[in-house]
Amino acid sequence: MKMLEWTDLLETGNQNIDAEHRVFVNLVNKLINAIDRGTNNPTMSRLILEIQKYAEFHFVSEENLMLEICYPDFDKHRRLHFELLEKFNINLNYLELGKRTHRDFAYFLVQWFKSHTIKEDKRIVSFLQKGLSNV
Amino acid sequence: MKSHFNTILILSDEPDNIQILSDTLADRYQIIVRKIGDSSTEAVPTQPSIDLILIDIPVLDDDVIEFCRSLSASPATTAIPVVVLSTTNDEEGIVKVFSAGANDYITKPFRLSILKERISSHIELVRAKTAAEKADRIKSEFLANMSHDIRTPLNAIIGINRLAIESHIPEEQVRYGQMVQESAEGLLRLLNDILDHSKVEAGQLDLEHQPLNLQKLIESVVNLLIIRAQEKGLTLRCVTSADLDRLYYGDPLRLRQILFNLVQNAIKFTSEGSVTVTIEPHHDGPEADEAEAVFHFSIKDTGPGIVLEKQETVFGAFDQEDSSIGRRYGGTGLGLSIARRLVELMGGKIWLESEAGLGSTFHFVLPFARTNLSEEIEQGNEEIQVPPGVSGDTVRRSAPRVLLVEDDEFSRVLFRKLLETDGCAVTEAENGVVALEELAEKDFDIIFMDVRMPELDGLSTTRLIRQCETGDFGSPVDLPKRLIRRLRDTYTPIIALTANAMSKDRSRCLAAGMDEYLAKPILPEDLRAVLKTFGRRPH
Repeated sequence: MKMLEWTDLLETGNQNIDAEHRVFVNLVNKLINAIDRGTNNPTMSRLILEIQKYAEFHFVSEENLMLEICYPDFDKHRRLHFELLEKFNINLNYLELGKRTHRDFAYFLVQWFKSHTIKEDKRIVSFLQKGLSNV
Repeated sequence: MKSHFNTILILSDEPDNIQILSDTLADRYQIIVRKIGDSSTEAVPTQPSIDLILIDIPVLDDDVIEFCRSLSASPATTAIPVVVLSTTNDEEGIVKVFSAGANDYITKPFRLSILKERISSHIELVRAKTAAEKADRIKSEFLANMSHDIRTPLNAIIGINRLAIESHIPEEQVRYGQMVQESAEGLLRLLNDILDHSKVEAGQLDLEHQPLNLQKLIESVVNLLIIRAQEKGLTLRCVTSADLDRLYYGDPLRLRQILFNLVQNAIKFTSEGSVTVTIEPHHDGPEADEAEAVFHFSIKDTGPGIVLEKQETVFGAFDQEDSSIGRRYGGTGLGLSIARRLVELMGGKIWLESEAGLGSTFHFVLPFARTNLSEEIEQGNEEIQVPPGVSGDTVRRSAPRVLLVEDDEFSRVLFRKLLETDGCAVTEAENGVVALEELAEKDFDIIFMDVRMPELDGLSTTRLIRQCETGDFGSPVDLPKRLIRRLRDTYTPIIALTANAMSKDRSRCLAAGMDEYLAKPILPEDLRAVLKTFGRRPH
């Protein structure tokens, strides 16, 4: 399965956010690797748990940054995080029920990460940079 | 194969989640799905009965919190466990869900296996709780039934012993008789406490709603107990305020019982000094309104006081400050528990202030509905008159003809004697069949009727008598023509005499066509009052 490659398109320009995103990309790739190697289920579950915990951590981390810089669309962005968690949960549940494969789940994670990062996280960074240049 | 599945109601607007949750739970539960959009407690089906409500919501909001609150407040849904699923992960939101009455909250993302276990744990908890409550209710009903069966012979012991004491016997025997009397009365008090306690526990105690005069009620309690206080060298004082001498709605019998228990307790535990009963309008807390007046009652003693650690538990059943005290002072330890339950049943609050060595004050506040009734109306059904030793009306009337229907021989002896003392001509019948035979032959002015009897019980007998009187037989009956002819277009008052002391027994008797109800043990003065009201011979 194709790895999630780090491209300029994913770069937000904020060092902290990008660093966390890179960790996340690594975790997703680890899972893809495990799928390709036919790793056993318990190991796969541990990897998915790691991804889940990291995503939850990252959302709180991003929310705290938004609060710090008084990001005007805080509520909207936070709502997006909740929607992402909802989608994550639905896919996780289908996986647990055996209605989706690990491959489906990894594919979902890739799309999930890309769409949010490219659109929404970049807004925060652009607000941050505008604010800094105004100083 | 299980014949009965527990039913889970899933409330969700998310098709994927509905699918997932249904698939997860369908092997163990019956599933019903509803939209959450316009959820109200009415939307919760009653058939089949729901065992658990699973609310799936993307993010917690005020509407869902409010919905949880209404589920927990509504009698139809309050016992159903509610599990909420959402992505909200902040402390404040989650605490709100629980304080709105939800039983569990699971943050998304979660594992279905864990959800399953939580659900089965909630359902098991409810099952165990229901089973425990049922066992408790059965136990209480058993106690109530037992005390009925003990009350019947005890009633005869007390009544007949009283007759024996008053029948000009040697002084030494009078003394023995008084000992029997005291012991039997003690036993009866214990029985009454147990009966009351188990009735409250079993939820069988219904409150009366009738006019009462607080001033008179309190005076009657104090008058009853003042002798006991004086015997111990205590002062028993009563401080009341002007507002009291008017009518309110309430349950006089039960209020009297609360006051009696508390004052009696104060006297029991105080070896020197005084007991003071104070009643005043209650000004703290929610202001009394036009419909209701709230009164604050307090009973202050100069007894040993109760240490702080024990103050919490004195209102529990079977609890005295320590078990050695129980032996020293006697009593069942049920009095305060009954008082607390009655106060709470009446919508009031009871508490205690005490310091070891300095005495105790028991407080309670109770709301009473106001009335516009004038005092005269109440005089008619004045319930609280205890002038011991005052004999009845001395005006001579022709002897009322009484039919006494009672299966217990000893009780018949007792009632006959009491009725004859009051100048009645008594005919006995040991069950309903014999009573009907007597009624076919003779006229009576009043019938005293036991309820539980072999052959034909009191309720059926009463119904048959009333049918004969009105000629209104629902279906053809096989009754002697003679009886029907004699009773046709007459009316004889029927008074229930029964050891069934539950209030639903009273309504059952009245519904069968009886006119009044006396619970055993029956006091001579109660019997006299009934005779005065119903026992007049028509002119």
